[in-house]
Amino acid sequence: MSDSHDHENPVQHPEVQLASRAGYVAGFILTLGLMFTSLELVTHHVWAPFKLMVATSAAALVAVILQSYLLFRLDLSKAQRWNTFALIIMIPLFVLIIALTWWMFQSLGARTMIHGMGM
Amino acid sequence: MLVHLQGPWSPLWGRLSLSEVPYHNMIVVGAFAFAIVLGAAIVGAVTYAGKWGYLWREWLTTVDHKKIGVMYILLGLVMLFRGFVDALMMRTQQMMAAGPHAAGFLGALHGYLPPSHFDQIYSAHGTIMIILAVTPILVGLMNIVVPLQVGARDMAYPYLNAVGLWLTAMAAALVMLSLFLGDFSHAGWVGLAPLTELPYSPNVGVDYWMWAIQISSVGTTLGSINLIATIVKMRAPGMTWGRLPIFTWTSLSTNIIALSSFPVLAVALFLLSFDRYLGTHFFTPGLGGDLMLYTNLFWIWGHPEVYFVVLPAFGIISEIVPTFSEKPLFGYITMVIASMAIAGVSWSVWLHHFFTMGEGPAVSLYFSVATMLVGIPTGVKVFNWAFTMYRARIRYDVPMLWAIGALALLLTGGLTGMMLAIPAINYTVHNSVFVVAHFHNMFLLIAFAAMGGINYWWPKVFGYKLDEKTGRLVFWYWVAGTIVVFVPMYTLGFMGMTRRLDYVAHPSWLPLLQLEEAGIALYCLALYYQLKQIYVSIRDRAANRVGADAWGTSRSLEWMTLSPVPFYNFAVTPVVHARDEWAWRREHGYTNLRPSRYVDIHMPRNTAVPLVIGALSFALGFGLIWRIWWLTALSLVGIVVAMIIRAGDTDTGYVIAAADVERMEKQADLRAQTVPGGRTGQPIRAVP
Amino acid sequence: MSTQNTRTQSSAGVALWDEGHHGHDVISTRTFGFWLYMLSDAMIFATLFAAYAVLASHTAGGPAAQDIVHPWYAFGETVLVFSSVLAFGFSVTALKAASRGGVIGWMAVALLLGAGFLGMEIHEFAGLAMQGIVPARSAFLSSYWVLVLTHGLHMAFGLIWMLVMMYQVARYGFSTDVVARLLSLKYFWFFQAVMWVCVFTVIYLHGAI
Repeated sequence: MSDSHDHENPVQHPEVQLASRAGYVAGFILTLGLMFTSLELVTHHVWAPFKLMVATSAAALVAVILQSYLLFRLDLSKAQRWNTFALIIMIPLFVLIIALTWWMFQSLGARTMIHGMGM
Repeated sequence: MLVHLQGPWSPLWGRLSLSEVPYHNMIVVGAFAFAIVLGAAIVGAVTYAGKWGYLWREWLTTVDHKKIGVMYILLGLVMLFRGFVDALMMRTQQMMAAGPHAAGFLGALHGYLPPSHFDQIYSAHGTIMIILAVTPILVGLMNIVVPLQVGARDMAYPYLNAVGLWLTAMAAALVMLSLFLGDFSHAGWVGLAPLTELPYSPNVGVDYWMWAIQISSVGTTLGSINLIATIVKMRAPGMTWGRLPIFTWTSLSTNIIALSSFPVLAVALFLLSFDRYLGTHFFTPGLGGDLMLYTNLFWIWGHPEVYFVVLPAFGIISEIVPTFSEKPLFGYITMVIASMAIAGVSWSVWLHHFFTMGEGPAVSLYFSVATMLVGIPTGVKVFNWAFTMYRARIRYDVPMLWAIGALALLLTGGLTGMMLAIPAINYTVHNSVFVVAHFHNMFLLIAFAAMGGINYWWPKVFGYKLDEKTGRLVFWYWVAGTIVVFVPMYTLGFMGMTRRLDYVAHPSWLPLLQLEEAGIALYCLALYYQLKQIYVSIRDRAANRVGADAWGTSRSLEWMTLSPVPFYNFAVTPVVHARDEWAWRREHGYTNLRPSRYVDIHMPRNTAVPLVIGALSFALGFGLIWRIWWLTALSLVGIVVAMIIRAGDTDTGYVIAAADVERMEKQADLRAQTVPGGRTGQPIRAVP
Repeated sequence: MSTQNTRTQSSAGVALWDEGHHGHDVISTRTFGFWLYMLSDAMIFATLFAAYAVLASHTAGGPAAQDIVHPWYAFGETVLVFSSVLAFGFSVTALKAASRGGVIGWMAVALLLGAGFLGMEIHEFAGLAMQGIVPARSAFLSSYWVLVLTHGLHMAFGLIWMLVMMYQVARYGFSTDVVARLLSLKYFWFFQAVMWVCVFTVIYLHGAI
């Protein structure tokens, strides 16, 4: 448990002290840059659709990781470790429900030939 | 944007009209009369005893986790009764409506329930039993026990805890209201798409079902946040992860499941409500809607939900078995890993609820194998309990009977589950009553464990034990009823009987259906003895008072404080030294519960805001169901305003002075001295 | 924290009760709970993305994603979301310096930028509705509207919350409750930027490919 208590000044709380102007600015510039790069790639149709899809997804993933680190300041420090741990437990679930749903409906569509026809 | 409705609608009353009251249905009128008489009796009794103020101060506005837990369990038991009556009606209908020559009564062609009524009953039965009976009972037990087991004063967010309770209660109230105003869903508790869509279910039934589940699941999600935070952040000094009692571990894993799965249900139902209210096409048969998407989303929640209810049951068994075996639990670490593994695997098995959808073999294989994997951690648990009991001096007290009964049910339910995990078998028995028997088998295991838990922790909450003799009768009649109902049901499933039949075409199935009805009669006896047990126990409470350690061989932290537990739980926070702290203290002779001095205690203040938010949620649900838009908007704004007002309340806690704590503890001490075992628990029996 | 001499000890010197135990850290308990809520909120988005993945191609003869998304316009929204989050970050650094004026001022900037985002989004969807591109047209449009507007609804809720917090900071200063709420709001607001990265990429960029 953390060492902070009611009777201490709340502003001194470790989670308040995590705030970092430089981190926020860096997060802003880097993520906006990534999104802009993705946008340029897509609007100029630089690559084939599949390759573009992968590249922009990768850019989004990097942006989210940067945000977790620079905005949320997730790490293994005493103040943040439970937040980090809870997120790590949840990430596989996000992936599972999207990926397994997509997979089973691809397979369903291929077998029932309704995919893309909008019935 | 709003869809065009069939039938009348007015800005003031929405879809409400007097013709929505089903006064022509004798069964509903009977139920209404019963509800009125019972309600009047309760109101009259409270008024006669002059207890309204007490009820308001001590219960309706409380933020005490034990009282909230008790109210959760009471709600669950009331809904369990309602769900049981539904079951009784369905069993009776199927017995009366077998074969073309079966007579018809009360407007039904065969039996006494017309199809539309029968369909509402099975939909209500499932919804009530899973969401409003089993879930509240287990949430109630977790509410009472977890803060005590981790050595905390209360939950992490006592106010939020009360909000969760009242949301759940209001959801139950909406379901009950559907009996007397409008109708309930006829599309099964799972909401079979596209039957739930507006063109096929134009009445308010599906809306009742949808919004009741929606409101109660908000309550469950808030509860899960609360319990996880309590376990992570509120543990007493020395309560390391390796010392956490197994019930707390299973509560943690179960609430991780709830936290992650209930949002999926919320989305599934919201998308359905957009279809019904705004005319979108998520699950419609036309314009690109995909009805299997609903089924998929529902079971993404639905299967984890199964483990959400089964894991606390495993936790309860893990507490009861060591206490009455007078031995530590065998394989603590494997038990923890198994609990977490079950929670993890629960996220990759949902397709086995609709193997016949038409997906490819690779997909089926993945979900089939994942489903079978669940058998491994579950098997580990069964063996751990068996090894705990192996060569132990077992005492067959009532909680232990329920735990052993639950074990037997877990074996049959688990093995039939393994059969259903095999796609080839699943294709054969899909939608048959074999499946129904299987999941009832599993839910009865949970109910058995919950009954064991109630018997086990009752003395901790109320200070006296439940009556043994009637308790045994409840157990044995319940066991007999379970066997007599569900063995024939498994058999009928193999004979090809499908679920949800309001008319049974094969008269040759009649004898087995009659046997099931006999089983229901046994359940009725169990119910009678259950009511008698509670009555006798309250009447004879003076003779059944217990000390801190009600069973004499309990092991975890909750048995280190007085029975009944004072509202501040522990006068002074305990220091934890061992995995089974109370057993450790007993072995080392540290059974004196008195600290050297008392200190001030910070406590949360009671508040009526949760009750107000609950009432506004009821109004919100009512407005949405009947499409009374002014009421919907008003109650939504009301909820937000109530939250903001609460956020501005700076006086949410108070301090009990050390001297007052000391005085209350001394009084409790005097009371405890009149009880055998008294202040330090019952005499300790030697551990072999 | 508590030391041995504030604890009740047995005759053998084993500490049994901790009289010096102050209870839990209120602020981090509150923010942890809010963090858990946000993870469940993230699950709501994950489910909506799963539904979108299934339904994106179900256009039922109506407009497809390529026909209705405008990546450059959406990038304008991206700039607004990100800069609103940046302004809120400065509000939190002002909290670190215990400056009431800084907290309220930067939060007002974040509020305006967030309102600008909402304005752009409302303009976009009003335009779609005018052209008859409504959710009732097809399953694709249903999931498109619901996914994007769920994010918008979160933004709107965040704006109301900011108004409440600006009032609370002015009225109560930096009490434990207020600081815990500010930290929770910080998580909530930053989280909208994370979700917007996903919405922007999957809906607006993949839609335009």
